[in-house]
Amino acid sequence: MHKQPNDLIMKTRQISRKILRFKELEPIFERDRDKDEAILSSIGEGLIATYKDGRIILANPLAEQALGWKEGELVGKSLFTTHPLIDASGKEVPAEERPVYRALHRGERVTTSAYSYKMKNGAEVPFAITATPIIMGGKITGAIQVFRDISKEREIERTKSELISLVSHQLRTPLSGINWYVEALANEEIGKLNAEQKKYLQEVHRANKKLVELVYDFLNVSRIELGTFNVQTSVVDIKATSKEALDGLKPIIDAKKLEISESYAGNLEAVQIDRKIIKLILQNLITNSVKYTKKGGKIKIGITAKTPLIFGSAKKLIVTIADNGVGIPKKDRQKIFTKLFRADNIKILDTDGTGLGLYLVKSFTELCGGKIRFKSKENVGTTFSVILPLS
Amino acid sequence: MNSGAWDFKMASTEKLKILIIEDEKTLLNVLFDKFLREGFEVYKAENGKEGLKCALSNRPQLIVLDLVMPGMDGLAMLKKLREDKWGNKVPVLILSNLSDEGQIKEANGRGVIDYLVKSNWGLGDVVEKVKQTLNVSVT
Repeated sequence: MHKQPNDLIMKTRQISRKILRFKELEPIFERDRDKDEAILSSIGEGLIATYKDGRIILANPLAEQALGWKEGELVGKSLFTTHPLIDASGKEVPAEERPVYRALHRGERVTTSAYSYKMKNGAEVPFAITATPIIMGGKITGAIQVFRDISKEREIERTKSELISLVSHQLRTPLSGINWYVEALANEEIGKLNAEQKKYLQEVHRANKKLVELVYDFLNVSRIELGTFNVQTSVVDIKATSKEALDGLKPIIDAKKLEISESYAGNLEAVQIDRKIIKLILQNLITNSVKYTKKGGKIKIGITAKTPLIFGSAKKLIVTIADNGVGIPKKDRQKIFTKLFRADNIKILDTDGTGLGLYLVKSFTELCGGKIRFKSKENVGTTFSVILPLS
Repeated sequence: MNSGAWDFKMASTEKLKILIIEDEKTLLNVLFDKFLREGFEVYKAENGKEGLKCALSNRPQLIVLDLVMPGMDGLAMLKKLREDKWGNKVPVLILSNLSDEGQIKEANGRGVIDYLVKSNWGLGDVVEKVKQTLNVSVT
């Protein structure tokens, strides 16, 4: 049965009107799309959007430039294959460890400047990367990678570190000179001295020693930043190293009447570890406790070499230095391991520190694959624990 | 500290000879004077080339060698020294301010007694080290 001709005409008119309206809106849709495209193209960083499985949806012009691929070549491919992530040692980072993976699978927003991308032509370029998940309807449906070329910044960092290294080496020669001439004079090898003259020379010697230590600290900082420090293990007598550090501080310990208790457990005479590193760690932590504990205070040094119960895991060296000194103020806890930082409450006690000690201790601990922790309360005391894996 | 009591004369009343090779005059002089006071017969050279010539003609019992020197540097001098029959056996003590791992490895590969970083060692410590070394080889 046919519908009434009027119905048919009315239906046609309705549809025509809808089509016309749609056509009127088309320019607006196109304008919006152009606007989005213009925005995407103008973003000052590389941008790549992907589906949940890592297949690329789009890439902006800077991404094309940065990675050496045309957008057309990228779309549809998995970003895990188009631009591999390379770590500081030149090794490819496995997919599950990539920032974009964490965004896709755990909804995390990850920012990092530690990696490089491998371009289409094989070149590796350092980037600052931020990966964020795309969430629609409460579910992760994809991810966005935004990245910026940081070659220039890396270059500057490198130049800085090389300068520190060069200057530090240059400074050592005049410092050695002062050291040796003063030593000969102070020992009266070049003629007798009166008490006052000896005292003055001793002060020169002490100041020189401080300079030598400062240069040594700076050299270590530059080595860490340039990645030129090679961890070398050998058999080290840990107990002796700890006692050496205490010996060097004897004058201050005696003057402040500090109570030092030491406990060494396990076989510590023949531990396989980097000698320079363990010496630096012990030296710095013990010196800090001695400097920042008031007269009559207590310092406890505990070192153990633990063989774990789990078969196959590495033996560990656990170093604990505890004091009932001035403690680290709450507001300074976050910054305590940063370069050149010194908390206000200890600057009053000792004007001399470089602010590099804890930065170096933490950096070297982590270089060995170890961990460092601390507990502290202002005016109650501080305990530092360092755990180092042993070969 | 004054160890003038230590008698260094050997049975034939010959003093022990040491050679110091160091390009920094100020360091060379203070080392030279020190070893002289300690009773050694001391030779000095300011670069690798001079040092090599002096070593081969005077045959010291021990050589104190700096690494960073103009012209022929310490490691190059050491390499050439070890090519000589006598030079291959003479004890060498490296005294440098470089704490470069690579240099240390190469120096050790050419048989050095020890590698001392100048700014970490006192004058007396260096002398002590030399005396220790020669004591061992004299007996």
